Amino acid sequence: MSEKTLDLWALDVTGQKRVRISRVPREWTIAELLSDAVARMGLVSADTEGRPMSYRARLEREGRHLHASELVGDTLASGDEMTISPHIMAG
Amino acid sequence: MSPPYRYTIRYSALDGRALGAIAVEPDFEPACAWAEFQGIRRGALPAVVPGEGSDVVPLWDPRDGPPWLAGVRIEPRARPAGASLAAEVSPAFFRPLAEAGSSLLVESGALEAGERYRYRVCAFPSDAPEPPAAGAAGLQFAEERRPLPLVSGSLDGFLTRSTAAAAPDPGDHPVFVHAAVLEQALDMARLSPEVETGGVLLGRLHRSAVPADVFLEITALVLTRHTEATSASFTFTPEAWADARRAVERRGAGELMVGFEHHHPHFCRRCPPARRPRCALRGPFLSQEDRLLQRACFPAPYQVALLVTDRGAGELLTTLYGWRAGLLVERGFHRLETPAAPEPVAA
Repeated sequence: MSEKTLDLWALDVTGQKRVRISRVPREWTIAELLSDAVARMGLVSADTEGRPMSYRARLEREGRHLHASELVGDTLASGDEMTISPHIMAG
Repeated sequence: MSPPYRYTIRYSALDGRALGAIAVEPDFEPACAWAEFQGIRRGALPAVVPGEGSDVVPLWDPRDGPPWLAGVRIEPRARPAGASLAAEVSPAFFRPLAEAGSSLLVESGALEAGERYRYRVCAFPSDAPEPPAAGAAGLQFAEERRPLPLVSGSLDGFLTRSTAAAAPDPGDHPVFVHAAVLEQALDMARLSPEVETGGVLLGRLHRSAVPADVFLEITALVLTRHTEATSASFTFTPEAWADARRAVERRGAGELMVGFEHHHPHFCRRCPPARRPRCALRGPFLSQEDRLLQRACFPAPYQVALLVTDRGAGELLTTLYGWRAGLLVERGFHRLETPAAPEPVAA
């Protein structure tokens, strides 16, 4: 029987901040993981109007952005690196 | 370790009437990282990030005392015996919070739109418990401590090959921008007079032995795909960031993503000519969105934002912004005319 959780690495957009996230439930969606990771990595969570900032996770092993509804257990393996990138506007 | 504090901004009308108070949560993270970076520059702290953190200590108003603040002092926890690495954060740090809070007072009717006001910042010891070490579901987060990627470089050597493009503040880490990067940014602005342009800045951090300091060399401006531009905005999508990282890998020069560049078109072109000299949009400025982008993507103390401002009639200005004691401010830089041959890059 496989473990119920896995451990990952999350990087900020520049790759200069690297955070180990342990005990990620396999049944979580990527959206749930992102929500927790943004808050706990100290990333900016709201835009200038107070609206939630939009982030996506890129799985470096496959070179693709993950869909919010994908399941952690179906998509990620322990030790994977994902880059968390915002959709963000300069004025 | 000093106790954590909670912060409140108290507003009053110009005639002294109390208008209300707003609780705020100051973002001290860039200021703390900046204070530790000053220690790294002087060789007083190991070049490892993140450091051991910093304490934020209130500086009480010398006349009125607690709870009235005159600023805060950032004290890195790791420091050699006898060394002071403290950095002071000025009252200006709280101004954006005060401005944001004033809009809430306008919404509540306590303040008229456009009405002038005074504000003071208070700090109170917080009784709030420390946040739990793990999330609700038991997730654990641990940031990896890594050496700051420094390559050796001679600050004097760079200075002899460059010209000051804007007067550097002696307290700032020196920044050298390759002339080709500046010309590329200016060319993009010329070619797109009505729509914003932009890209990601790449560079390297250098450790200079004599004089002892850390300085930044900006080596390239990467124009990524998957950006979205209008006459008043420039958007980096997640795909654009991935494109920038691929560019770093492709170049293979050990560069870091060290900031972003964008340009402001001539916003006043449709205004009556008589109004233009007084218009705040004619000069260089970072919008709230620009500042949020820098905070979200480039919060490290050595990271910068390059802006090209079109003032009309072919006049283009380049301005560099960087972190100073928690504030994102206009700062000086050097235009590097003759880049040296590539130096060995640390693994």
